[in-house]
Amino acid sequence: MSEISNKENIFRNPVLVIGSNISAFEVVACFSRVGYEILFLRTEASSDTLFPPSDKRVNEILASKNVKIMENATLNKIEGEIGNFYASIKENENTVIVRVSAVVISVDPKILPLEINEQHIGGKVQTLRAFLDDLEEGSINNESIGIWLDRAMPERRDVITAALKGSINNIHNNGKSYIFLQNMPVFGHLGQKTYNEARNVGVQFLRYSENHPVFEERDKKIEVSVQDAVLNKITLQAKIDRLIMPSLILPGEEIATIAKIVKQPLDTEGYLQSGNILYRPVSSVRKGIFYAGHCHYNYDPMDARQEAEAIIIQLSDLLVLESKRNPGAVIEIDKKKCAQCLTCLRVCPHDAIDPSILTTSFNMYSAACVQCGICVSSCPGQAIELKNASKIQFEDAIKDAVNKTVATSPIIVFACQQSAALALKTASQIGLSLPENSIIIEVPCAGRIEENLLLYALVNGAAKVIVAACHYDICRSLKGNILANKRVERVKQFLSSINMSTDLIHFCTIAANEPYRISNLITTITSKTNTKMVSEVA
Amino acid sequence: MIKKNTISLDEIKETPLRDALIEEFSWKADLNYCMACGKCASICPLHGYTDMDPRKAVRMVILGDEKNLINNDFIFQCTGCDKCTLECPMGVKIGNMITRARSMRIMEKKPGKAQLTCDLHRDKGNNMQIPTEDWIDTVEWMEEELQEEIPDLKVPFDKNGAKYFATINSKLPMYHPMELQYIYKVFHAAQANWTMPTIWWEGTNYCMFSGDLETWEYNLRKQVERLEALGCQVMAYTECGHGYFATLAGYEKFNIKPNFEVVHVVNLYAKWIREGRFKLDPSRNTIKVTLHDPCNASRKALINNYPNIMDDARYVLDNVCADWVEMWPNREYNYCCSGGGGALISGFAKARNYYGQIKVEQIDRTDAKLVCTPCVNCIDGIDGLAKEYKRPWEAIHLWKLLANAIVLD
Repeated sequence: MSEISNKENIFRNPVLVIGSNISAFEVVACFSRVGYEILFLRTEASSDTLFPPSDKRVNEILASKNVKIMENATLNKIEGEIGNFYASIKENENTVIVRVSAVVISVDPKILPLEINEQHIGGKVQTLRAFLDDLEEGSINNESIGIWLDRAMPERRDVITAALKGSINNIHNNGKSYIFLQNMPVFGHLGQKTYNEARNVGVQFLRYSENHPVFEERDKKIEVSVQDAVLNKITLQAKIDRLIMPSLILPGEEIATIAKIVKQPLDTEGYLQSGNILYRPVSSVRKGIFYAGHCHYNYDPMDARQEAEAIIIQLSDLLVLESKRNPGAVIEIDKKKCAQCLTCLRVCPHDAIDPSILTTSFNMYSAACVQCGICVSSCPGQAIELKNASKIQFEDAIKDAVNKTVATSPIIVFACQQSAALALKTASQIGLSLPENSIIIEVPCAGRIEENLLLYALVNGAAKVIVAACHYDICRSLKGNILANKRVERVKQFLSSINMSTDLIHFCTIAANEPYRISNLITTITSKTNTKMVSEVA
Repeated sequence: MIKKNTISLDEIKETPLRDALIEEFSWKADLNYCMACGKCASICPLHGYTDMDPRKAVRMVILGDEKNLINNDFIFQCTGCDKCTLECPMGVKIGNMITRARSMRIMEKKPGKAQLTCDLHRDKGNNMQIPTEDWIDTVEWMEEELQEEIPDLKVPFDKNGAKYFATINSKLPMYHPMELQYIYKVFHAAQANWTMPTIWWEGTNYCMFSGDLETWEYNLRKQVERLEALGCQVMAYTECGHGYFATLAGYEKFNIKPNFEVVHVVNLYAKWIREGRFKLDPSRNTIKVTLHDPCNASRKALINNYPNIMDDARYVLDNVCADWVEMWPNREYNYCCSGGGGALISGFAKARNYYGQIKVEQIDRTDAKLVCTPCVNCIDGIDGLAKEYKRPWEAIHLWKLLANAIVLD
């Protein structure tokens, strides 16, 4: 089995950035400033984009020596690992394969046009983008405007920011600005500042709780009636010249397509957000693939710079670690047992297994592999071995445990190194005592544990087995804890089918900062144990 | 056609209340921070009495619907306790807004007798129209009475260069002259260099309740003039909550810069106890006591960075009472006595008794028979509740407990 990795080039391989809006440009600018090479696939901006990059930024990038821009180009395919991805890019009619160190995705969502019929309303009705364009042109002066902020859907930060800025600028143009909304969105620091500025210059926020605002023509203007959420029996009325309705924004095709290409899932709303909070907002679970800007939803364009910097820091750390990694694969596949069923390929959350497995040589992306062992425990042919957490090592550890606890049978705790093992270390540091016959066996991820291992422990003398994994939604390998739970349940089913107590095996989730909880858990389970050896009872 | 329950935002041309607040507090930002979270409404003692609450009041000013607020009974039912301001996570000065709204109500429409009292203070030097001769007589009469116990007691009138200028709430000489004796005893036992003024001795300021800013300032300045003429260093502010607060807030508001310090007598009691000036026997006060924190000298002083009496009141009670307990909640979280904000003479007795129920519950839970509170209006408020709700407890000044515990050889 060979390994695709060429350490010398990883820093010199360009970073691939795909997108068109402010965040894409900010990423390109920040990366190029610190010396990275960039390959920028500049996609077409949607016509209604709220935050185009500034001219200054565009010129900076066009002039930069280490940015190569490809317009009218699309990413077709990407394989490989961090530091050495192979991107297959189609430009016009040609396809080129470029080696890149990482990919930053910053594509746009889809913006749907307005649906309202403006003819019976008495004034101008337009989208937020059109309003902002008019403002910039200078064609709005002395006008009363109203922006219906959350008419179609929960408000998005970029929409709110744009609306607030527009309302502030309108006041500077001798105008009056109203904002109609049902919910007050909560913002980060920069967003809050804009809110404060809006209030200070006199933007009026008219909040309603149940009934939507009503618009009617009156004296050649739009008369709007809002039932105030606080003074709930009072209707507020104002006449405006212009009604602005932010467009409906949906994730759209571009986001769905690129998700498939980088083999990452969409979240429940259809946006690119990683499966658990450890990686959010800018990382995906796949090392070296990053998300920036609108594609991961509810993004505040004022955060563009910070996001870009976060990505640089994370990528740089990963590349440095990668350059220091010892060469050589960390898993081994016994070709005699491997049936090329592709289970390992499908189950690996880190895309660490090369699809070329269908050929006779099995390739591995060691840079992407975090050694969780999910492939090992999932392989139906038991053909995979993880060097640092092998079957032999576990079996020996179990046998040691039984020998050590001579008088009583051991309670074996399989502790995930990302959470439970850390909590147990803390517990011993702060002097919490564990039962004498409890033995801790560390696993790189709870997903490494399979049913056979659990049964081996019970058959060879463990009084009980406890599997302690990370809390749901926090597993670094996304599903390690879920798999472990399923497997524990299966063993319980098996035990009950042979009339043995399901109390012999336990599953729990723990965080690294819960030393009291885990030591209490182990103590409680142990105290309810009749430590006769399982094999004796059988 | 404008419907009755409609506010037409385009037609609001002037916003004098908001402008005045901006001018005083550069307040535009302050008011605009209101998130309509409703904490003020939920903590307000008047909550539930009518459909008005502080949140709505702020909302009306934000929208420019000021007239409706200024003419609303709510602003005069308000107890001025400022719990709303304390709760507000954004620091909106709601209490100040209410006072300013009161100041914009036309004279003829101000309810109750607060304005009358304020005018009397200006015209006669004190709320009760007590002429100077009668005042001197009353003071001397009480001096004589006390001399039976303390032969060498002297109450110095208008002593030039005295350190402490005593202020007295005019309700005392009018209705409870005996209380004066406790005050004399405390000053005497402390061997304080004090004086009783013959004019401008009034230790209240009802103009804050009626919202008459001009007369408020006038009354303050007259008192300052008198004190400075006598060359005193400290205005020893009597046990009156709103008077203390109105003085300090008024100096700030009207930019009065006196060359003396204003110190609440409770702070003085504590200071003197620490200095060991008294020999105290707490076993002389055996009846169980609880403490009510007067809003103006506790929460409102705290919020506005004036010295407050919360810690010192407790320190004094520790040293003079055999058995005292806290009510709950206490300190800056305590509730209005029901006599606040001019409520005793505003004509809204029903509202007063409504929110007084909270106070009644608080006191009942302590099982105390005496409610110590260093504020004349609080005394009246709490005694009023005892009468209305037929309770066995009664209110008592701190000077009485202190004087009782002082042992003179």
